[in-house]
Amino acid sequence: MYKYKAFGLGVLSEIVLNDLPSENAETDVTIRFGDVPEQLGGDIINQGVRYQLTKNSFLQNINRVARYWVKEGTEIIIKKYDGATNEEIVFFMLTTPIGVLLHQRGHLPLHASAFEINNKAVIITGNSGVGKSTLLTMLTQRGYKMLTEEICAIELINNKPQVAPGPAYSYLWKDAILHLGKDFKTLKGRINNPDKFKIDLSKSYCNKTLPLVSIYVLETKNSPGLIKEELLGFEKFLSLWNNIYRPRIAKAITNPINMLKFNAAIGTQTTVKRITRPKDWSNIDKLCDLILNDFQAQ
Amino acid sequence: MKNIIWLASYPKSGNTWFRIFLNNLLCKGDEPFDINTITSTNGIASSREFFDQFCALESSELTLNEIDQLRPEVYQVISTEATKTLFIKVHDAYTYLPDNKPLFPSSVTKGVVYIIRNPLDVTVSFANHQNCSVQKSIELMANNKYCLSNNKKSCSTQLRQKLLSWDNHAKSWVSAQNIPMHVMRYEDMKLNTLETFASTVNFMGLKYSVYEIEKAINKSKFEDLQKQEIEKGFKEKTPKAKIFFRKGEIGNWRKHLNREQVETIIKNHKGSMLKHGYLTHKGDIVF
Repeated sequence: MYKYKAFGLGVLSEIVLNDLPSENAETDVTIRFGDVPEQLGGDIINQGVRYQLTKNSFLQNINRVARYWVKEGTEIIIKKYDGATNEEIVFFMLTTPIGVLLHQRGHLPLHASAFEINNKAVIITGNSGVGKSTLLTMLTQRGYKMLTEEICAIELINNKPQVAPGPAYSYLWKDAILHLGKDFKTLKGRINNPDKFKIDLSKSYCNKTLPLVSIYVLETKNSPGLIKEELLGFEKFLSLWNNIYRPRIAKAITNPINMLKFNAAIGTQTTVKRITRPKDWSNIDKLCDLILNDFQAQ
Repeated sequence: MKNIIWLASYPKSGNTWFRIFLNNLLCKGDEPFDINTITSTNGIASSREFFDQFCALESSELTLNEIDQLRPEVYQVISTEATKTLFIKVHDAYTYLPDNKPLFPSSVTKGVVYIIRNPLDVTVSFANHQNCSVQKSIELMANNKYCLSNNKKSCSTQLRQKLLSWDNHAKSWVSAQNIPMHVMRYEDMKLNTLETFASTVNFMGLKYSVYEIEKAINKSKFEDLQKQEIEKGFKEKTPKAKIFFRKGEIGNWRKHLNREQVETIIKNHKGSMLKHGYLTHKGDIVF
């Protein structure tokens, strides 16, 4: 068994997780291979395409790869399919299954990237394809350290919102890689999607849990120019809810009182700003400048 | 449960105009609705966001064929959870998966409104939409392997949509088995608006008076849509196109296509042009 730290949790894993920092921490979550049912029993509170959710349990079937069973925020059991590689199994495990586990544990996982600046955490969130990963990688090129990509889990510690580190990589499409001046021929493509490449960011990684101070919500538009606006009151809450990780599952599983606590803490301790950018990529550098300049000006 | 009406068309055939009309019909009110808030119809079948949400997966981590395999299941779940009829836009051709199941299951399909437009006019409009030459547009529309959102270099908001050629796109939908089909021509929408829209509203099982339909038509006039787009933009416009609501005219092709191009388009799409009244059997162009 191997020991790691991820999202502030001590992980004891039967499977090697190369992209998580090794740490001999007290175990909060166990990941192991084992039998996984094809269907969950009990009261199904949400289901979708090849997944089911009860109050304490989640089951997801990834064709050709594995079935994942996430139990009570403390265990992920994996039933591997013949021919699946450990790389694929780990890759999919570090998406929805770990995201649901974080929901089960009462964290607030967002579909977001996060980076460290002046010992604080800054989150970039938005829909798929809006530029979260590209911006994160660009920031590391400018000397900033990444905290996490894809899933950013906020936890309340002493009523203060905090962000803990996740896996130390980013996945980028070819266009983004070329724009960042990297040679995709030297990078490893995804098995299922050879046009998406893994960027190892372990050398630009912050391995500390940090207080959350800013969230930037990215959206796109059909006109030129960048627009930045601060979100206040209910709009702030809505921006979090709209970018929660796996919203259909979150809606079924999130304790409303917990959500109110997050909302209150983030409402008073974190600035949330929306930046709307043109759909084309020509201004990604300016977008990065805008975020950094805005943060420094706060 | 059969509660999805697919609003299907080749691109640039009047689908958006019809959805704006439908929005104005279903959302009662005296003022035209903002073209950027078409809330009464239910998105597009190839929405990556819908797929990711209903599968609890990033579609970008699957192969294109794996995505196609799961799409019918996505529509099953959407249909199961719906409490009313859904109106979903589609640009995909009606195709079948390797196991011979259709991409759009008949088990969830209440009906299809297939909107068709003269391919001569579509060619010109499509060239503007794709920001390409008319010649390129002709080639793309004749290409049976042509797909939208097939860019492998970045993450589109849409999933891959197989269009086939314009001719085969029309044939694929019109010949689809076991689903009620209503074909609506763009030209009839323009020339005989009230009757055409009323007939389609009736096909969809909606109960509205002639007065209400006429009111919704008046709130969806093409000139007003153009005006709205100039004032506030239109979020469904692709970044490549200068404008979405460009001309909307019947026969605008005459200003843009030379004789050779017209002959090529007719040769490429004769079957559906004849079937849907764009060409007479003598070879005369109708519109």
